[in-house]
Amino acid sequence: MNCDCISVSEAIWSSARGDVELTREELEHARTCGSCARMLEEAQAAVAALDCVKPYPEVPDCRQSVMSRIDRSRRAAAPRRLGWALVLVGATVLALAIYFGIPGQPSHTAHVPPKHESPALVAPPVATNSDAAPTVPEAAIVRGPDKAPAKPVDAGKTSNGSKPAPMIPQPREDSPDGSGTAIVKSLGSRTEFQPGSAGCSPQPGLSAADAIPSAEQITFRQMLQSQIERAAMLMAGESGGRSTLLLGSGVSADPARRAFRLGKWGGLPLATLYPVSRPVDTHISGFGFGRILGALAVLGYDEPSVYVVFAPVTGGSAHPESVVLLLPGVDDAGTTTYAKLAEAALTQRAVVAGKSLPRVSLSCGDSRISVEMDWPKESYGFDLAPDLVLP
Amino acid sequence: MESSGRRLSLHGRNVSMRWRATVSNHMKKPMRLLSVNRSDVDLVSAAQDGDAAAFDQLIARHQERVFALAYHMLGNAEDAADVQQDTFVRAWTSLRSFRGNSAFSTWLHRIAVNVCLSRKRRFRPCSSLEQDNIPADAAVTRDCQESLVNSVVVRDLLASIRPKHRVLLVLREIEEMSIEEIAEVTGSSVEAVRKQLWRVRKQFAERLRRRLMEGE
Repeated sequence: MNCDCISVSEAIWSSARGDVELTREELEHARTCGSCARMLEEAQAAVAALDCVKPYPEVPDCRQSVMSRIDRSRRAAAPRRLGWALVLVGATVLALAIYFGIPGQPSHTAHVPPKHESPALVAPPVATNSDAAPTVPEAAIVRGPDKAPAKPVDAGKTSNGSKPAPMIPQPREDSPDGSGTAIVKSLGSRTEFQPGSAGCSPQPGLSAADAIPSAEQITFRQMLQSQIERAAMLMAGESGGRSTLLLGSGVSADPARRAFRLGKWGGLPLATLYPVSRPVDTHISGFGFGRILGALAVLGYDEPSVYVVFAPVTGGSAHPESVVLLLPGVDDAGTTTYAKLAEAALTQRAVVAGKSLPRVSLSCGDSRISVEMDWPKESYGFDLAPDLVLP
Repeated sequence: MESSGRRLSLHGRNVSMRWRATVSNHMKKPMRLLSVNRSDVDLVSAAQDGDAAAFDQLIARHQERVFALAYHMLGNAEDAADVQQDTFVRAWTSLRSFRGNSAFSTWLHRIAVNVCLSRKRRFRPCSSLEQDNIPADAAVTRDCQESLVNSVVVRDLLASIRPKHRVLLVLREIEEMSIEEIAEVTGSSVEAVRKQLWRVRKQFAERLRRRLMEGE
């Protein structure tokens, strides 16, 4: 094919239709070009053939049907437009209501008071196997009002033998549905802690909402901070200053993973696990000798609760091979007391060498949560759920 | 002036129509009275303002060509009638987008071609080649001595060509549109239309020759 062929072909077909006469140059081209010569032979027949199909049947008058279709579509479009307008108005109102808060009805943030947030404690050093918020089974530390508040199952004695003064978490009265539930925002998304830091002071990077907390927030945060500080002091005291409660993300072997939350436990609280920099050997009356592995903070109630994770080694009065959660308290005499909230069977205890930092990993299933805590020379693994039996 | 100003604000559309009528009166062409002679441009303009009667006139003026094009593209009257309706309904809904850069008939053909092509895509393979009440005088048209039998053969041949190529042959050889008009209808360049037309003509001629040889 070349340009000549195209133009000569056009001329050949026009000539076949009788519109024009072929010029001498075009005829010359047709003689020398095989394709055009064949076209010259066939065009007459082709044009004649196409003339055969030119007639068409009687044309139906479509005016009435078209106009009725147009009318129908107009009528159908009107309510549709109205519907879209209503949807648009509704969406706008909803957006404004969400932005400014629905008057007379507590907003989401009112239902879920941000007082649960603790800027001082938002990045505990627990790494999990999953970035998603894990599900923690119902058999848990705290419960809603449909169940009795958690009580210590075995009030142990304090270090000096006095009776413990258990701090029992109470369901929040201002929870969204009165069930004691509260949703706590992700605590680790905006703050960073220095690795190994045991301090509880707020860290930079907080949002404006965090920077200006409400009175309720301050109260809750202060309570949580106070309890964490007490737990940290306990660790330091029990270990003679050789171990601290780690709050920084750097304690994890995988610092990129910052899913420190244990998740919603039975749909209610969030819990955060803080390991100690090294297991603290101690003796607790009623529980015997053992090692304090860390602290577990449970949020979601009016009063936060921070439990000591204790692994009895020998001499425990009961459940010598369990990990127990102890609720520290202070009696009238100012002595620290411990009350056992729950216990979990120890699934492993091993010596692991060559690690510089403790690593905590959580594996959350539907019915249990597996915890592994590794230090340079020691490793603990336990399941929290199956044996966490509340009274 | 004051009252006319009020009328303008209250009945903007009527005043606008009246203004147009005044201009037409000045040009000795009253719009309503001489509506039969109104150009496509006038009718389209009125239809764009929501004048259904003007659009009705446009349908009356162009429905035959649209039907013929659809019939030649699809090969049966039933589908062609559907395409005819769809084309005008689609033209009405997108009439505001018509800016008069091309003739209204060209624009309408473009819609019809698109409707045909989408219909062909939906109903592959192409429709049957039944006889659709071909007028009795069809047999005596120019160079068509073989009458209806041949027309069936030719339509069968046309149906064997890809729709995108067939439309060129139909527009050029049956609808007798110019290359430039075809380029506008198909949205291609003139050069591209020339090249594609050359190919499809060659293809059609070869198939016809083969068919004739088989017949012999």
